[in-house]
Amino acid sequence: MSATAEQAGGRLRRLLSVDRLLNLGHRRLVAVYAVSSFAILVALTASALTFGGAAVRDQVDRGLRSSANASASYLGLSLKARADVLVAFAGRPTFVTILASGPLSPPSRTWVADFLASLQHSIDGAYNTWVTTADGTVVDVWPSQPALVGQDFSYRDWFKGAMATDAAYQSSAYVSASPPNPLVVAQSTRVTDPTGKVVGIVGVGFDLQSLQQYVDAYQASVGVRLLVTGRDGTIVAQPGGGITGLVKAIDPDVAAALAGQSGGDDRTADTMAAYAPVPWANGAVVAQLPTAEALAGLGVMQRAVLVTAGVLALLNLGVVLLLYASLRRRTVAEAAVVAANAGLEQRVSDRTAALVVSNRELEAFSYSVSHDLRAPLRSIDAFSQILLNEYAAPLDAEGRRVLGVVLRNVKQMGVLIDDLLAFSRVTRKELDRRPVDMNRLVQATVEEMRAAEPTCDIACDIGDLCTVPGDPALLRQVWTNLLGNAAKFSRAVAQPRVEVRCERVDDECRYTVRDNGVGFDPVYIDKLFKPFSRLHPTAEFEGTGIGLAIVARIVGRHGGRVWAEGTPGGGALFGFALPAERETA
Amino acid sequence: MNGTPIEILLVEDNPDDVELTLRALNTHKLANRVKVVGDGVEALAYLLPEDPAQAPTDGFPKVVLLDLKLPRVDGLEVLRRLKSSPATREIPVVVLTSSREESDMVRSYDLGANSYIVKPVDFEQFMRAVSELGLYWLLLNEVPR
Repeated sequence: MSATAEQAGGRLRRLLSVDRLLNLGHRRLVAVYAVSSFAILVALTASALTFGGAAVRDQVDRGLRSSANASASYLGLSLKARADVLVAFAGRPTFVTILASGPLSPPSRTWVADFLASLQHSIDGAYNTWVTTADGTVVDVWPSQPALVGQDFSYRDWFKGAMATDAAYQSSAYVSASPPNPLVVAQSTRVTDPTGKVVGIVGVGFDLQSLQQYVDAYQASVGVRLLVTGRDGTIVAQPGGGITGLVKAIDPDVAAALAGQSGGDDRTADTMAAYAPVPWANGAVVAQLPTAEALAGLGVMQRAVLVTAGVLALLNLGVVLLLYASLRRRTVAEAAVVAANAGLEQRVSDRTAALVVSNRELEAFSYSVSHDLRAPLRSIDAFSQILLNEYAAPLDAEGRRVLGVVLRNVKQMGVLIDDLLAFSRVTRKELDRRPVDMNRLVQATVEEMRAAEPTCDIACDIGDLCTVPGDPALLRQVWTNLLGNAAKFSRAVAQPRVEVRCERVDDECRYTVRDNGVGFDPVYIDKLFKPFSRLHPTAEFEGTGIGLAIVARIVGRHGGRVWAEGTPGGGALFGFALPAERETA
Repeated sequence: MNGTPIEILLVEDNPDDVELTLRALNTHKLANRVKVVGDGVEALAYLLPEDPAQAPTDGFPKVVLLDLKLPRVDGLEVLRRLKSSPATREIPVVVLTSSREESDMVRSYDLGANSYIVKPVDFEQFMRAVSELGLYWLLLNEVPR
């Protein structure tokens, strides 16, 4: 159990240390990303809330201002339109004449009554109409109020106002003298004879209902609450109506509007407002919206921003985690690759060690073959020979023939062993590369062969051969084998001839040895370079079939290649190509 | 071998080779001057005994025919010991072996072998080679006395 725990502990330690060493970089990276991305997110959210809030407030403010301005304009224009009607009526010549002619005759009284009734009908929302003398005494009222005729109304605002101007005058609110005495506003204008003398005042009263209707309709459709005052600040219409008396608005906005200014007001926390003067009528309009209501959109927007920011934060958190996970995975994978590489190197060095061992074993094997196979062979040969030499008498002819067969086979086996060893030596020998003068090498080989077989008379035609890098001893073996083959297989023809040639092609030197000997059947061309394959019977041409295999092996070890061409009876060509010395040196 | 001085020490483990070598030497009547030992330990015990009193009374052989592949202590080690010891350094050592390995040849000469002869498989060649080398080392070669 303690072993297992120790193992687990070791693994944990290794993991931790790998983590610590390899993950430090990406941890820092992820941390930097996380901090900066969340900071950006927070900044964006804060600015969205701040600027979004400001934008919404700004929009509400503009909306209120335009509500105030538009309403004031509308109210002013509609009042002015009525006043125009009034002025038109006041200018009627008959009316002027009647008023100018003093106390009314009964027909004139009837005419005036009709006139006032007509005036009331002509003006929207008119509550009543009246006419006074130039000093304010009522001449007639419509709908008829006989009690009021003869009363002096020169104290009324509408009288004073009309007397003070050529044009029509919009009065502030007051309590009508006509039953049921509602709160009204009046428009009034002077009636003047052609000489310009004031002969009377004609007026029209409106109860506040039409104004209140406008305010109510506006609130219903636009949502903005309007407060409307007359020129003296008395409220004539207000949100929700309910005006039962003359109330002066104590409101800086109203004061400002009455002073002819328009603008916005966000001075109070719970209400946003804007104000504008009513043109012509010189009243005031204040448009109001409770802040909570005005900024309800802002709240929605802020909630949206916060929700969005929250979602983004969650997403970003996911990104951060993914980033961390993937970087970690990559780091772990890299660590795994590093470990795998280390394993690979270990495997390569293991294999190399194994190869070294097996090579050593091969050497031991070859040594053993060289030494141990030869010894019994020598004994067989020697004792057979002794038998043949010293005990020939007791043996009959057949016995001697059989012993001869034994001896011949022993010799053949000796040659095979030597060839086998030669072949394995070629494989094992380390290459000792140096520039090899092939001309000298071939020359020496030919001389050696001539010395070995002085009777052999072969015409040798040796071209110029290029120098290549290679192992001189091994390349000499190549030439010995190729030239030996050429000599061997052309010995039988009348005029044996061997040609040695060289050609430099691209990066290689190609050497060829051509003879005019017995040649070979190209069908067997792929057997030529295999160890111990022979195309000719031993009886005809001696050999074990190792020569070309050794050539192929040596050339192969030099990074070259071999080839052969031939036809039966048409001679043979053996070629080999070796990589040439790079000419950069 | 009564009284006949030992002139050749043959270090060879293969009895067939011993017989053939003796036969070859006998063509010149040299076989009775040969002492045969079967491995390197025996060879060293004979030439370089730990107790100097055991040294050959009748002097060292004129030549040592040394096989390389021997049981226990091999030929190269015998050669090294003989050539590094002042007492035996001058004894001619002929390596007589089946090995054609170049490495064996190089090491042998490095260690001071006087000759390296590959035993021919062919009996006639073998006979000729061994008898000739016997003649050469016994009759022609001169060593300091």
